[in-house]
Amino acid sequence: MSGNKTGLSKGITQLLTGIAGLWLLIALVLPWMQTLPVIRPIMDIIVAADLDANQYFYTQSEETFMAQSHVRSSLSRAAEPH
Amino acid sequence: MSGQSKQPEYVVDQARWEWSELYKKEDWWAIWLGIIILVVGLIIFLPRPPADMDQKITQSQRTMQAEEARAPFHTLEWHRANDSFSGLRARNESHGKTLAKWLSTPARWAANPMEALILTETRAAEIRDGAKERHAAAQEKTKATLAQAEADQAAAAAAVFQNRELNKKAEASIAQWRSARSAESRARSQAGTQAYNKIPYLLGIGVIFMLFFAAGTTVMNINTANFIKGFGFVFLLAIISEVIGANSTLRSWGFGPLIWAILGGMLIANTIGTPQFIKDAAQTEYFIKTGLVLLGAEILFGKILAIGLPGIFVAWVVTPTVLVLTYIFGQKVLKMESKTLNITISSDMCVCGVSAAIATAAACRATKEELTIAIGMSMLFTAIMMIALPTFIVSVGMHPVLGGAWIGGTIDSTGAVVAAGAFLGETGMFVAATIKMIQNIMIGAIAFGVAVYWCAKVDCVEGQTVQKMEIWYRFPKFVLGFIAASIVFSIMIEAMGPRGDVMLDQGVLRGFSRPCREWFFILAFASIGLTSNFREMAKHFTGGKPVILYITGQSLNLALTLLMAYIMFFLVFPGITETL
Repeated sequence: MSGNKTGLSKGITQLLTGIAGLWLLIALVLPWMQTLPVIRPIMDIIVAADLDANQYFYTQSEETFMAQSHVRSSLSRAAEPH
Repeated sequence: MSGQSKQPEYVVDQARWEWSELYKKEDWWAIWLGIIILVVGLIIFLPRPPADMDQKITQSQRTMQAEEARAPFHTLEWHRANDSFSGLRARNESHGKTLAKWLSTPARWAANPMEALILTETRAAEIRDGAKERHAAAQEKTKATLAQAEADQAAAAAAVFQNRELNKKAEASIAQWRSARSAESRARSQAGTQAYNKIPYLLGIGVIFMLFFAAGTTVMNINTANFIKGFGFVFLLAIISEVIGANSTLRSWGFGPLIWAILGGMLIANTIGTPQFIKDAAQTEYFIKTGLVLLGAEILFGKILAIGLPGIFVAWVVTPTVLVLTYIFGQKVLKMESKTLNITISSDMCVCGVSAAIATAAACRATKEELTIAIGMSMLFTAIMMIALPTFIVSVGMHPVLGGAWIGGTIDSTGAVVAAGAFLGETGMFVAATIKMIQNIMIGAIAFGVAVYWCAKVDCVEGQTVQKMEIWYRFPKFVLGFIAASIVFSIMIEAMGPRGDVMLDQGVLRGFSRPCREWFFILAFASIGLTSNFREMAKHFTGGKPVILYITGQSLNLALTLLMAYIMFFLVFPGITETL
C-alpha cells in the first residue's frame, strides 16, 4: 500500500514538473525567442498579418482560397496576351 | 510503466474476409460515420444558398474577366469583384454560423487562458475600447491608400496600360491598399469584440460526439460503458490541448493543439498512469480513421490545376521522388528497423507534415509511438524552417515566385508555409500557399499507394507472391472511404463550377466536415498520448536514425524543389513568373 502511495506521489511530482516545464516553454522561452534578431522580423509579420502557423491542411487556411483565385486569374491572363 | 505492453497496431490484420466486418470493424465504422457527416452536411447546406448567389457570381466573374482583359495587373475593380465572390460563403449564412458556434474550438488568448473559454462583457468592452483608436487609424490609412491606388491606376489607364513603370506603380499602390484593408478588417473585428461563453457548446458537442462514437462501440469489441465513462476525460484533455494551442505565442510558432494533446496525454500516461476505463475510451484508430474519411472529402483534385504545369512539376514530381528516395535511404543506408516509421517520417517530411503522417501511418499500420515521433519532428523542423527559409530567401535577394515555390514545396504545414511566404510579400505568399495546396492533394495518392505496397510487399514473407484477394483482405478498408470521399467531392465541386466553391468548399467542407474532422483528430491525438509509452518511443531514437532520416530527406527536398522551381518558373515558363 505504501509502495503504491510512493509511486503515486512520485508520479504526481513528475506530472507537476512536466506541467511546469511546459509552462516555462510557453510563458518564457518561446516569447523570449520571438525577440531574437533573426526571428523577430518573421514573427512581426505573422503577428501583424494575424496569421495562424498552426494550420496543417489547406482547408484551414483562408489564404490558400485567396491565393488560388489570384494565381488562376494571373495564369489565365498570361495565356491570353494583350 | 515497465509493465505496460506494446500498443496495438492501427489495423488488426485478419487475412480473410467476413461480411460481418462491415458492421464490426472500426475501418468500416469510420467509413459509415464519415458518410453520415458528409451527407448531413450536404442536407444542411445545399438547399440553403446565400441570397442572389448565382447573380452575384455571374456579376463578379464578368467584372473580373473584363478587368483581366483591360489591364495587365489586378485592378481595383478586379479586387472588389474577387472580394465579392470570395465573400459568398454558404458557411456565413445563419445555419453555418450556428454550426460554427457549436463546433468552434477555444478562442485565442495571450495572457489569460480562461479567455479561450469565457470572455466577460467587461473584458470585451475593454478590448473594444482599446481597439477603437486603432480601428479609426486603420480606416484613415485605408482611405489614404485607396486614394493613392485610384490615382495611380488612373495614370496607368490614361497610358492605356502600356507604360510598364506606371503599371508597376499602380500595382504596388493597390497592394498597399489591400494590405491596409486587411489591417482595417482585423482592427474592425477587434473593435467589435463580443462577450462569449464557449463552455455550454463544448459540453454539448462533447455529449454529441460521445453518443456518435458510442454507437459503433456497441457492436465492436469495445466496452461501451467504459467508453462512455472515459470519453469525458479524453474530451477534456482535447479541450485543454486546444486551449494551450490557442495561445498567441504558440500559434505564431506553429505548435498547435495536436502536439499538446500528445504531450499532455503522455505526461499523464507516463507519470500517474492512465486508468483502464480511460484507455477504453482512448480509441485512437476509431477517431483517426473517421477523421481521415472526412479529410478525403477535402482533397479536391481540381485544385491541382491552380498553378498550372510549373506547380504540378514542383509539387507532383519532386514530392514522390523525394518520398521514394528517402524511404530507400532509410532502408538501405540507415538500415532502419521499422519500415513503418521510415515511410511515415518520409511522407510527413515531403508531403504536408501532420496530415500526411496521419494518413500514411494509418495506411501502413505504424504504431502510435512512430506517428508521434514523425509528428513531433515535423512540428519542430517546421518551426525552424519557417524562420530560416524566408530569412535566407530575402537575404540572397531571390525572386518571390521562386522563393514562394521553394517554401510551398518544402515547409511541412500549410500555416507555416503561409507565414513564411508572407515574409516575401503577397506574390510569394500566394505562390507558396498554392504550391502547398496542390501538394496536399497528394496525401490521398500516397496513402493509397502505401496501403497497397504494404499489403502486397511489406506485410508478407520475403519472396512470397501475394494473391490479389490477399491484398484485399489485408487492405486497410477505411482508405477506400478516404479515396471515395475525395473522388465524389472532387467531381461534385467541378460539376458545380463556382457554385461548388461557395456551397461545398466554403459550406459543407469548411463549414461542417472540417471542424468535425479537427475534433476527431484532436481526440485521436489525446488518445495517442494517453496510451503511449516513453520507453517505446525512446527505442526508436537509437543512433538518432529518425533525425538523420528527416534532415537528409529534407536536404534533398530543398535541393530538388529549388532546382525544379528554377527550371519551371525561370527556364520553361518564364511568362508565368512574370505575370504572377
